[in-house]
Amino acid sequence: IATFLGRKLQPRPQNEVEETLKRIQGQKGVQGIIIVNAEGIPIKTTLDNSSTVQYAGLIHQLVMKARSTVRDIDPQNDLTFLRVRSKKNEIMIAPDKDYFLIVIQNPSD
Amino acid sequence: MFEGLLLHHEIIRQRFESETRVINHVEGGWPKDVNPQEMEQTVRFRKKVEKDKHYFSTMMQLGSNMEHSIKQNNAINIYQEYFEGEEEEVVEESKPSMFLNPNKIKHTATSLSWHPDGSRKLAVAYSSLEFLKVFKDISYNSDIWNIENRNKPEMTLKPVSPLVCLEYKPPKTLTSWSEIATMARSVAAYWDTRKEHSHRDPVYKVIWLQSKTGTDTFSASKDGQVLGWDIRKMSEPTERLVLDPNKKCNPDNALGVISLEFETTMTTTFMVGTEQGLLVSCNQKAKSPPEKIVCTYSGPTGPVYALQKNPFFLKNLTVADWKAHIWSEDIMWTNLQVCDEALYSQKVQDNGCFLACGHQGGRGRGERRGGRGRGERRGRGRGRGERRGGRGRGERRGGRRGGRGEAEEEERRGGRGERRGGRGERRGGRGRASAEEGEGERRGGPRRARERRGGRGRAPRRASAEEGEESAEQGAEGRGRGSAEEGEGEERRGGRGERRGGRGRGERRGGRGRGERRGASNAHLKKRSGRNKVLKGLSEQNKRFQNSFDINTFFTNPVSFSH
Repeated sequence: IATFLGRKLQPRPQNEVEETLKRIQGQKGVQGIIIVNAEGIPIKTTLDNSSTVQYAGLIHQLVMKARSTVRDIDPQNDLTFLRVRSKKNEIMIAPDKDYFLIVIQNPSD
Repeated sequence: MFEGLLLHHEIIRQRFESETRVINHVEGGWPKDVNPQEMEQTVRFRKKVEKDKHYFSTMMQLGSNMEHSIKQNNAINIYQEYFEGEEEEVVEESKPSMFLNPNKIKHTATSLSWHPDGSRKLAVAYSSLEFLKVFKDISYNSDIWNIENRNKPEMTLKPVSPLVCLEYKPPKTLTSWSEIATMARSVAAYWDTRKEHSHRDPVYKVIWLQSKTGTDTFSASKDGQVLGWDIRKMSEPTERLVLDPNKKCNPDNALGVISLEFETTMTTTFMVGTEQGLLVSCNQKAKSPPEKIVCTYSGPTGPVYALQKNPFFLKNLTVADWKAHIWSEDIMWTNLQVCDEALYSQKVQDNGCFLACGHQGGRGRGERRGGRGRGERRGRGRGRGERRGGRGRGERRGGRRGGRGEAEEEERRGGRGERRGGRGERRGGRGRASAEEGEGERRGGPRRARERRGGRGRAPRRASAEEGEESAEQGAEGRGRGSAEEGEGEERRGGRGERRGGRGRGERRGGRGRGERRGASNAHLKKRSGRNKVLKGLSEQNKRFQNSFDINTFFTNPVSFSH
C-alpha cells in the first residue's frame, strides 16, 4: 500500500513536462531534445551520451556569448531564442536563466 | 634605497604571460558530491532537478516556445535556395570618364566630335568663350583623345587661335578622316584678310554637307550668315546666305544663327535655328539669295539652340529653346515643355526613342515621347553642372548656369537601348578644365554638345561641356553678337562665337550609330549684371552688325579683339 500511495503521489507537473517533451519529440523532423542546466549538466536527453555531452558543452558557450551580445547592444534586451541553421539540420535553443532546452530538427522539405 | 627599489620595480615590468586555451568540455559542472562516472549518482541528481518547481515552469515556457519554432520550420522552409541556377548579373556602373586637360589654364571644351569611323576617338576643342579676355598662358591647343586612354590626349592640335568648333568629317573615303576646325574668334581673325567674305561674328556651328565631293561645309554664325565653304578653297566661301527674315539681303537685319541642321535625305534643304527663335528653312540650291529662304517658322519662343531632324520621321524635328519642341515640318504638333530651364542641346537617339536634352543647368533630361508611336522616351536625366568659379562669377541666371567645366550628364538608362540615366560623360577633357574666367563673367554652363552614342546599347551622352562663357562684359559681344544682354532676364549670350550649335551631323559612325551629336548650344543665359554695357546695341532683334561696343571699351576694334 505504501508503494501504491507513493506512486499516486507523483507530482502532476512532472507529467506535463513529460508530455510536452513527448509532443516535441513527436513533431516532424525532430532528431533530439536535450535539457541542460545552467552549469552545463544535461538533465534530460533523447540522444546518446557522448552527443549529449558535446552539445551541452558547446551550446552552453554559444548561448552565453549570444546573450551577452544582445545585452551589450541593449542592456534592457535579452535573448529569447537562438536558432543555428546548418546544412543538415537546425539547432534550436530556448534559453532561460537556469536551463536550456535544445532541440535538433531536420526541417524536411 | 626604497625609492630606488621602487623605481627599479617600476622600470622593470613584470612579465605576464597569457595564453589562450580552449576547454574541452567533457562533462558538465557536476557538483562536488556527484561523481560523473557513477551512473547512479548522476541519475539521482537528475531526478532531483526534475522535481524542482522552477524547472517545471521553465520547461513549460521553453517548451511552448520551442514547439512554435519547430512548427514554423515544418510549415515553411525559409532558408530555401531561391535563385538556383541564376547567374549573377553584373551591373556595370558607368562612371563618366574624365579626360583631364593637361593645360594649366583650363578651358571650356567648346566642342566635341567623335571620330567618324567608329573608333573611340574624340576630338575636343578648347577655347575660351570670353573672347575679349586675354590670358597669358592660354593654350590654343585642342586635343584628340582616345577614350581608352584617359591621361593623355592622343594628339594635340595646335591651331593659330583657339578652336571653337570641331567636327569630324564623315568620310567619303574609307580610310582617312579629316576635321575641320573653325576657329573661334577665328573666323574673323583668321581670315582677316578675307574680311569681306568671312563671318564677322564667331562661328557657332559648322556642319558637313553630304555632297559628292565631300568637302563642303557650312558654317553658321551669329552674324547671320550661313556660308558654304569648300575646304579646298578656304579663301572664299562658295556661297553665302544671309538670313534675313524679310528676304532681303540686308545684313543688318540678319538673324543670328545658332543652330544648323540638314535634313538627312535632302541635301539641299536645311533648317536654321536662330537666336530670335525663328526657324528658317532654306534651300541651298536656290539661285538667288532671296529665294533661299523658303519659309520661316516662328514657333519657338526663345533662341533655338539646338535643332535636330528626326532621323526616322523625316518631317519632324526637335527644337530646343527653353522648351523642347517637337515639330513637324508644317505644323507644330507637339510642344512638350521638357524642363524649365533653357535647353541647349538635344539629341534623339538613333532609334528615335529617346530624346535627351541638356540645358543650362547642366541637366540633361531624356524623355520619351510616348504614345505616338514615336516612341521617344523621356527619361530624366540629371546632369551635373559644375559651376566653376563659383557662384560668384557672373551671374547665373536662376541657377541655370551650368557649371563650366563639368557638366556631366548622367547617362540615362533608357528603357530600351539603355540610356543610362542622365549621365552623359563629358569627354574631352573638359572635365575640369574650365577656363578661369575673370570676374564678372557669367559662365553659363549649358551643356554643350552632347554626343550620344547611338545604338541600342548604352548610349552615353557626352556633353561637351562647357559652357562658353560669355563674358558679357567683355563685350564679347562686341563682335556683332547680338547678344541682347541688356537688362535682366536672360540674355542669351551669343557668346562669342562659340556657340556650338547642335551639330547637325547625322553621323553614324561605323556601325555604332553614334547618332548625332548635338551640340549644346552654348549660349549661356546670362544675366547681365547691372553694368551691362556691352551690347552693341544689339537687342534681341538682332542688329547684328553694329559695332557698338560696350562701354567698357575693351574692344573697340573688332578685328583685334578676336585675336
